[in-house]
Amino acid sequence: MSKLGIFVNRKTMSSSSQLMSLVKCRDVAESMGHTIEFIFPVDMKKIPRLDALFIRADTDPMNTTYVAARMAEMYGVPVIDDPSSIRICADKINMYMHLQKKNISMPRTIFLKKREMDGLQAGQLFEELGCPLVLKEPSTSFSVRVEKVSDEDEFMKVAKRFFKLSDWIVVQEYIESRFDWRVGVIDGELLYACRYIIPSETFKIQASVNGHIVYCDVESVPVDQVPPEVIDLGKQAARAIGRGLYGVDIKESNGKLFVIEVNDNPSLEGGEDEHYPDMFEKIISNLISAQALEDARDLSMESVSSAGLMARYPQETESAYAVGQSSESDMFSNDIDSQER
Amino acid sequence: MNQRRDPTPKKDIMYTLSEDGSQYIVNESYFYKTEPYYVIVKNENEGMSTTPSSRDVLDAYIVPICLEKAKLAGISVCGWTISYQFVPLPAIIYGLNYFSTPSDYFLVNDHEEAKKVVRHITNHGRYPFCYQKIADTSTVTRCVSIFGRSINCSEKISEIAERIYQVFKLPLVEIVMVKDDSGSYNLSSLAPVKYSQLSKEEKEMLQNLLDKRVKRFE
Repeated sequence: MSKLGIFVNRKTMSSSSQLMSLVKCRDVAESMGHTIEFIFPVDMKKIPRLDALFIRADTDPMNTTYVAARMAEMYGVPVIDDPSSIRICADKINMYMHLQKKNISMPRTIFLKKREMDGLQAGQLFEELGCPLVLKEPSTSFSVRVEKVSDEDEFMKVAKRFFKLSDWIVVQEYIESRFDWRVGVIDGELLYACRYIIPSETFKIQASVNGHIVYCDVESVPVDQVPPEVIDLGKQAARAIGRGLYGVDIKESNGKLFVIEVNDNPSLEGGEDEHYPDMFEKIISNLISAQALEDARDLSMESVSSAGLMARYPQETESAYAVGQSSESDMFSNDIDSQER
Repeated sequence: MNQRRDPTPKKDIMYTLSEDGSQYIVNESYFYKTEPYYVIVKNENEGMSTTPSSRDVLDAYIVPICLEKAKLAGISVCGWTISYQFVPLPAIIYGLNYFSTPSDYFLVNDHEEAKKVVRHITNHGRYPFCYQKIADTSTVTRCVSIFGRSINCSEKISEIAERIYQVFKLPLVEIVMVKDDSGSYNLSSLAPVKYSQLSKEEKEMLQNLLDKRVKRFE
């Protein structure tokens, strides 16, 4: 029996389906004989005492999910999503570089630097990649800062806006399709497959249309109805990133498949598991497997020894907190923080 | 005739220094999604050993990770807690979001001030923050580390700077420490340094190191 933590953030939980999915995950883990504890950002110090951590909150190197993942890694606690996957997938520049390195089929992509941007450059990009183009701010999620541009003026306007948030942005050829395949992969193997049906008003999986948010429909597809080449490409793309849990988006155009992106922390609450009832069981088994523990300990050792650190595992670290550290009961008894969870 | 060269490294210029098959990136800051960060990421993807690494940079600038990593390395650190609203007094407060930098810390001593600061750095409760409870008599000290070397600092601080360079590998960084009554120092954060902040001696030290083998990007 293991003690599994599920890292959640009330501030970024946006739907009841997310909550239901967390409850389902907890129920599955408990039915497997494990104990579950929901970990909130204010509970960060509990992570070293867990046997494994499953992050189910919007991941980004600049938010608390990355602190949680890195804490787990430093203390040898197996974690999904691992810090490396967050660093890569949450940053589209890094993610596409990994895909390019492994020659994964993807739309033609150029990384545009702030100091290189001018009208002339925009014109050259249209010539090189065709029209329209898709511009992406690297840390976008749910397609929030993904925009299609059809002329140089539009290009400059969008690029200028994105360059306020990042010194490099992604410029990509536009691939049209009515739906995206979403291939869920864990440790390089298929977890589930589904179609994300793109709303007719947009080219993104989520968009604001006339002030209303429109979402794509999720259609779980049984494995025998998924083209094998889609599954293969999904697995290859995921393996180009790491051994964690990923959702690979694939578009098909003119008979060719393109990886649009690899997401860490993929959505698991939209009905993705309709034809894959053992989805959570597989995730939990992977997370608490002996292999995962061994890998986590290796990563912890590597993480600390490369810096000449003294590797210490959870039970030893408790006494290592510096003078001035609040006791745990002080830390978590605060009323205001409790209400914030 | 020898002409005296201005020893000031230029603002917004990134320097790369190659040594032992490794590339060292020297810049005022290494924030996520900035030009130096992406040069590091590009090098890593091309298999080039680069100092600092993208992981080192995030480890250094994200306060809770920085302190936890330093603690594991045996460096004395301030105790930290993540919160959305509550902060004990007195304390040092750091933001934990895209718009925060470890350079902007807030030392709070009374409730009104704390309330204002928390409202500001959490954007009215939207983001969490990290606080470090300190003693009433503690003081905050800063020192610049250039490849782990510091100038005009006590021996104790120089040792800390050297150790911090071994652990975080940031060529240029400001070390923020809290000094307690007993005279010992606890690490509070690692922050970016503007070239213009450097003293004359620090500028000369940096320039001497850069003069070795340097390629300049503008």
